[in-house]
This record gives sequence, structure tokens and C-alpha cells, in this order.
Amino acid sequence: MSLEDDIHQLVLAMDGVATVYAADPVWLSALKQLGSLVDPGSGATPVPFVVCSEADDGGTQERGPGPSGAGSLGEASLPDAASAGGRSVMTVKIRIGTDGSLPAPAMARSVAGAIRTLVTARQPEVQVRALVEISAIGV
Amino acid sequence: MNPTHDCGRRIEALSDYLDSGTSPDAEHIDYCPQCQAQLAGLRSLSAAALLMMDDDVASATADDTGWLDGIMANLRLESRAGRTIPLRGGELDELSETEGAVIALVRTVGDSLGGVLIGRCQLEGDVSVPGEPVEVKINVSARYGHPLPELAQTLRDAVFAELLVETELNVTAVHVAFTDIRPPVIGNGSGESGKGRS
Amino acid sequence: MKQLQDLPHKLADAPDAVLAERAGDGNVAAFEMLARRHAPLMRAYARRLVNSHAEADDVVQDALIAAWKDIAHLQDGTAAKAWLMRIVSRRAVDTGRRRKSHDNLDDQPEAEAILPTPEQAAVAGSARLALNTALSRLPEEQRRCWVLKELGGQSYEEIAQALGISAASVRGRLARARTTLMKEMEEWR
Repeated sequence: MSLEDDIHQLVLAMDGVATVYAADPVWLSALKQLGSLVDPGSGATPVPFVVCSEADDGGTQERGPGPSGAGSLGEASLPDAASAGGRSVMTVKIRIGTDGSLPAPAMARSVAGAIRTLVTARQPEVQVRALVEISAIGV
Repeated sequence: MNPTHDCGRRIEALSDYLDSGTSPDAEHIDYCPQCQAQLAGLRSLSAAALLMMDDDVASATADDTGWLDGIMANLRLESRAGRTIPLRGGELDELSETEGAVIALVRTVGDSLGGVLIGRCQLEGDVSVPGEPVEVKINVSARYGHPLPELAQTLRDAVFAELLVETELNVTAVHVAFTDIRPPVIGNGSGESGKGRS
Repeated sequence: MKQLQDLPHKLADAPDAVLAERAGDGNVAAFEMLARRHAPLMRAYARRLVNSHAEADDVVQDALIAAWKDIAHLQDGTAAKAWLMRIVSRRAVDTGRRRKSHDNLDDQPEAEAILPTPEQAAVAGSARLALNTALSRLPEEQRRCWVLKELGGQSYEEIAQALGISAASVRGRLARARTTLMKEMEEWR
């Protein structure tokens, strides 16, 4: 199990979370599905649910969708990372739907907290930057 | 038959006459036996085309072996994202709700009220800046028989309450516009029921 | 949970305009209802515009995907049906164009093989069958113009745009198609 899968399972199991959406924008996913219909030989490509990307002094390895452009710009917009003296920052991106049992804003915060706790336990040296998007709100 | 017949009128002109009901040449056409015969032919062609289309639609429906379900499965995706609405969170984090999620929420809240079907729903104001005033505009299709002022007030209250819990938006107004009244549910004066219509 | 068990009933008798507004806001259920309402017509229409049923289903799928993507920009929801038919028209014409550019054996028209002979049609005494047969014999460009106009309700300008020809040649093709069809149908009487 990858870190991404672990985060996926962890968040899915949380109270108030109804679903975790594919990390791709909707239309990209739709086009990929069509692509696989056209070319059955390619088989079903796994849909990523959680995207982790790590940035350190050397810049981004797998650039996340955050405000970072070039590596230096990214650090400038992340004062915590800079002040941490070169500690690398792991960006974790996830999109969830809530089930309505807990208010959505609180859910976003507790999901971010849970992700931080899990990643920090595995990799104490990295800082965690959680990008949590509520894509559907249950009632 | 020939596109150009004895009286010199072409089928194009007759088709136009049939489509539009008017023609600068109407006086001739109305009294020319050849033109009248052509018009009759064009009319029966259109009639046959409609019948053929009915047959086509019937067989397109009859051939239904889940083809539409297959197509729908490809479309069964979450609501359109729209703008990003920021939520308070840790300094490093970026937490947000999508505008699409909030609009879907308003829709669900409204649809759950008897007699209400939500149409367009818009958030007006800069939702991407925390604290900015936001007005909610909702179009409603109402079932006939529900008193509209009460319905509007109930809907406003429900939407306000839900947005207060589920978002951090500074909602300053909820505007409700009734755009359509649907006929009452047959055999059930009290409005919506799970029993369906005849 | 909110009481939403009535929603399917509400959507089922909602006018196209309301469904289109909801779909424009991203409501999949409303779009589905709209699509189900008009899909048989779209499919029947597409079958007349392309040469195989499989191709027609692809056209409808493409058209619905394009429609879902675009429906937020649909100004007049009451015209949703005509709008969907326009999308089918364009997609079907594009499909024909693509097929022409790389034709292969599998794509040969299957229409002729399954159609009744003129004699069978005459015996059946059906104007519809006669029309069906006559239609299959028209040159493709004339058939397309006729189907787009007569079944799709498209304007000369819309047809011209879809086919990439002038409105005047649309008018001419349509006239030739109608003349031929009327002539052939008269022979059954």
C-alpha cells in the first residue's frame, strides 16, 4: 500500500465523509474513460484519489496545483517551509464529499488534521500541506 | 415530374411557400393546378417523413438494451465545480468548498420542500474572498396549490440555515423567484406524494 | 436525510427549461431526465444521418457529453430539444466526414442489405416503407440535407454551417431530394 492509498482509506473511514473523489478534474476523467472505451487494449487505468507531491530546496518533484510556480516562488509563498530551515513540504491533495452528519467546514479541517497526523507519523522530517476540497455536501 | 414544370415554378419556391406560408408568388401558386399538385406531393412527403420518424423513434426506444444507461454511466459524475470557496484552516493548508457543491446543497434543501423544484441557483458576490457579502438567487418551479409567499419564506429560511452550517459564506440575502408553476398532482390535492402520477 | 423520494416525480414532469437550468448548474439527475426524455429522438435522428446503428449510438453519446459540458451556456432552456438535435446534427456530420477520410470494410453502409425491395415495400403498401427505400437511394449529400431539414428541423443556415456548404446549395440539394422522393413515392400509389 502506498502512502496515497493509506490516506485514501484513512479519510474514507472518517465519520462524516461520504466519498473520496478522483483527484482529476471531472472532464479529464471523462475523457480518459472515453479513451479506454475507444481502446479496450489499454485496460482500466487506476484513477488516482490522493495526490502527494514533495517539494524541497531543489524545487518541486511533482508539482502540485498550489500557488507555486518556480521552486523559489513556491517557497516564498510558504513562509513556514522557509523558516523550517529547508524542511521539505509534502503537499497532499484530496477531494471529498461529506455525508451531512458534520458541518462541511469542520470536516475539511479534521481531514487536513488526520492527513497531517498520518504523514508526520511516517515521515517526521516533512511538513504537510493539505489541500482539501469539499466537492459535495450531503444533507 | 420535373423540378421545372410547365408553369415555370420550381420546387424550391413551393417548398419555401410550404415552410413559411407566404410567397410573393402566392396568387399564381394558389390557382395553378400543377403547383397545387406539387404542394400536395410535398405535404404528403412531410407527412410520411413524420410517420417514418415516429417509427424510427419507436424502434430506437424498443432497441433499448441499456445503451442509454451505458452513456449515463459515463456522465454520472459529481456536480460542476464552479468557483473555489475558501474555508478557514491551518496556515499551511488550503481548504475549500466548490461553488458547485454549495449550489447542489441549496438545490437539495429546496427540493426537499413539498411543491418546490429548484431551477437555476446562483451565488452572487465574490465567494473567493472570506467575509464578502454573498446573495443567493434561486429560480423555483412550484407545484400549483402551494401558497407562494409562504413557500418562498420557508425556502429562504431553510437555505439560510443550511448555508450557515455547511459554509462560511457571509450570506446577506436569499432571493426566490418563481419561474414556473407545474400542474397539480392528479388525484392528490396535497401536492407531492411518493405514489406517482397516473 | 432530507425527504427527496419525491424528486424523481418532480423531475419527471418538470419542463425542459427547469431541467436545463439545473443541468447548467451541474445537476446530473436533471440532465439525465432531459437526456432520457429526448434520447430516443436523438438516436432515431442519428440513425438517419449515419450509416450504422453503432455509429449512431456513438454520435448520441458524443452529443450528450458535449451537451452536458455546454448546457450552462444554453440561454433558452425551452429550446433544449432543438438544441440537442443541433448538436446531434453536427456530431453526425463530423462522423461522416471522419469515416470518409479513412474508410474501411466494417464501416460500409448496412442500410441497403436490410431494406425491403421496392416491390416488397409496394406490397406492404406503406408510404413509410416507400420513403425509407427511396431515401436510402438518394445520394448521401441530398439525403443528409433532407434529414437535417425534414427530421431535424434545422434551418438552411444551420444545415449549411454543419455541412460546410452555402445556404443556396442546401436549398438546391433539398429541392432535388424532395423531387426524387416525391417521384419515387408516387410510383407506389
